[in-house]
Amino acid sequence: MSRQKILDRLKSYSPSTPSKMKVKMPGINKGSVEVFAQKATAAGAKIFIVKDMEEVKARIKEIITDHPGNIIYSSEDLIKSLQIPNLVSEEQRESIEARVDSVITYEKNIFESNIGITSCLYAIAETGSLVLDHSDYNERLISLAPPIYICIIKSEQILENINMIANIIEPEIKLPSAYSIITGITPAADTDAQIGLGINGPKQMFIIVVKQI
Amino acid sequence: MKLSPRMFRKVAREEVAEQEQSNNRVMLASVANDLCDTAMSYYGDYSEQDKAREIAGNIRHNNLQNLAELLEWFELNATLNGMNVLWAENGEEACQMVEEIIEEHEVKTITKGKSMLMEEIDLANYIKSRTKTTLHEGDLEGFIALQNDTIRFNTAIPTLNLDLSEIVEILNHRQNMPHTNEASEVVDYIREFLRTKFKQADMGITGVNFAVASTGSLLLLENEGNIRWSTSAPKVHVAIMSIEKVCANLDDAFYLSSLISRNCTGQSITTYVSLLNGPAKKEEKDGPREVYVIIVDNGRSEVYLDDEFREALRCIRCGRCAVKCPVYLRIGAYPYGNPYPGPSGTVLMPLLLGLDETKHLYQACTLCGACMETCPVEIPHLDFFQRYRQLKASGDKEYEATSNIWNKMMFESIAKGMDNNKRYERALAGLRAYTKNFVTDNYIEKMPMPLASWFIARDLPEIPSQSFRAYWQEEGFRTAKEVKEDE
Repeated sequence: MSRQKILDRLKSYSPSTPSKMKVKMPGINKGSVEVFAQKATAAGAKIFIVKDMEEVKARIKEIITDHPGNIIYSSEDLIKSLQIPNLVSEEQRESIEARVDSVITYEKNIFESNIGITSCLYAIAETGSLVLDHSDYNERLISLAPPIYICIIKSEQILENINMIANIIEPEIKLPSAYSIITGITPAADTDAQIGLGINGPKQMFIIVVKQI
Repeated sequence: MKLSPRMFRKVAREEVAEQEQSNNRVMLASVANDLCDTAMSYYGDYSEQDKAREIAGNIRHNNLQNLAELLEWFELNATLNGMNVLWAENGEEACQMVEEIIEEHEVKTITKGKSMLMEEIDLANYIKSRTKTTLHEGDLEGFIALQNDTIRFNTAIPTLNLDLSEIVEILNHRQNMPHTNEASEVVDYIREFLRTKFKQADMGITGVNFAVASTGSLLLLENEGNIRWSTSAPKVHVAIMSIEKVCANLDDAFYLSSLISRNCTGQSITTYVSLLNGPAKKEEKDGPREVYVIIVDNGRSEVYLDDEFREALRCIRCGRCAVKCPVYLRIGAYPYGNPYPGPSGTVLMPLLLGLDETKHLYQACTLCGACMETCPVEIPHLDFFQRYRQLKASGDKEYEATSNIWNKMMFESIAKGMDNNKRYERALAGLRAYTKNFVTDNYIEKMPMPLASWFIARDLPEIPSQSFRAYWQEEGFRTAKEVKEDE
């Protein structure tokens, strides 16, 4: 009822002037690893640029060793290939693949984990952002709930700017349930220099970029 | 206490007095300058900024020209994506829809993200008074403002007027948070508190920055993560948007989003951008199982039909106009008494609430034009404010304006006086003689009615005993007419 009333009212206006120009955004260009690293660092992330997957494993092991608590990770191919349980040396710590959990166990584990690890679909050099597509292979809360978040990307996933993401997503016939674009950690945004810093999301963010030569 | 635009003068006086006792005004001006400088740094120079404004202005103009079609297109695609799209003619209907969703899903706890539309329709109070559901504000500053029983102070930084010790005091009083001098401890306390609520929530309610017609998606911007929580952890997500929030495609939505973050918080992009395309798929472990989008009109379609005021709906709620407004910087947000403090609300609210109810908003404007020069979507604020004043003076019934008979008489007399040189000279001589009685130390600080209110916040230098014209003649200088005749 309300729908029809609202639409009828809106339709009773017929534009007398034709619509003005449409903005055409650029095509799809690869972005620079250095620019991405610089921007992501400015947004509060810590960046490691590594040569191969062995070095990725070494970096993850370092971070895990420095930060206690359980680890929860996504089931993307890149992440599974790291065999994360093998990187955790202490027996009392758990490393959990989110996908194999039941929903109830997942809900418990996600709140009890200290470190979340995922990959991403793309990264954006201009802003230092990560673009995650959420599915049963990459749950939404892995990159949000744990206080420490690690993301692993390959340099060829870095695009120049955000409008290129629009050009990729727009023609997709079947979209994932959600995309998240994450840029660093929550900045302090109040009268005091620290209020708000990392308030509801991760407090620390590590991005490991595999730049193959 | 619930504020309203009718209380503008009273609250403004209180705010000015309070700010003179603290450094809030200095702080607000300094943050405003920082934001503007940072926003400018993304443009490079003013020509770049103008180019961006032209592009964004065109996008919004196009969106509005095709509003009905875009809304239908969005509805179709969002429905195909599995969302439930509902339409509400006014705030009450929207609130009732939320109540029905709460009942249907037996919701006990809700977390909400920051949304001006929710404040406009007073959804939080409706839920509190009509349901047994507990509603938690997930946004940090909104949360603190709520504990302080106030509305948000600034679009981007709602507790800009509070320092750490005041925040600690409020949280200690309302939440029993232990006293501390460490900001990080306050953050940790609120983080843990909100985390428990996100975990418990059965439903998340958020606003919408843009609805994308071509993909049927919702685009939401934030810095804190509370919107991601509210759209990921609970089983039901309700998104509330006003009709003008629809965009044709993702290009447009991303372009406008970048302008919001630049102009609102001085960032190139907000920390989190969520593009939500529908409920979670069956196999997904998190994400809502049901998504409802409530498209709210609340008077906007009437505004849309008025050729003179349609472009008021261009606003993307970045709040840049407020931080450039000398009135806002002097009095802060509270006197405006509506969820859209500053020039953007002064454009919209008179059209929604009527010109009498909101007269102080557009009458307080100094017409300096700073808002118009900086608006990223080229809203001509001053045209609106001047037109509202005209309509108010003429007692326009369509926009609920009644003219003030005394004002009308006064301005008609002034117009008559200024229309004729002799009458003008005589009036000025009379005024000069009359005001002499009120001069103290070369200034007039007080006058009786009907001029008394003008002098509440202003002093006028003593009117010289001789006019410039009389001085010129007395000194024997030639008039322009005489110079021209000689030539």
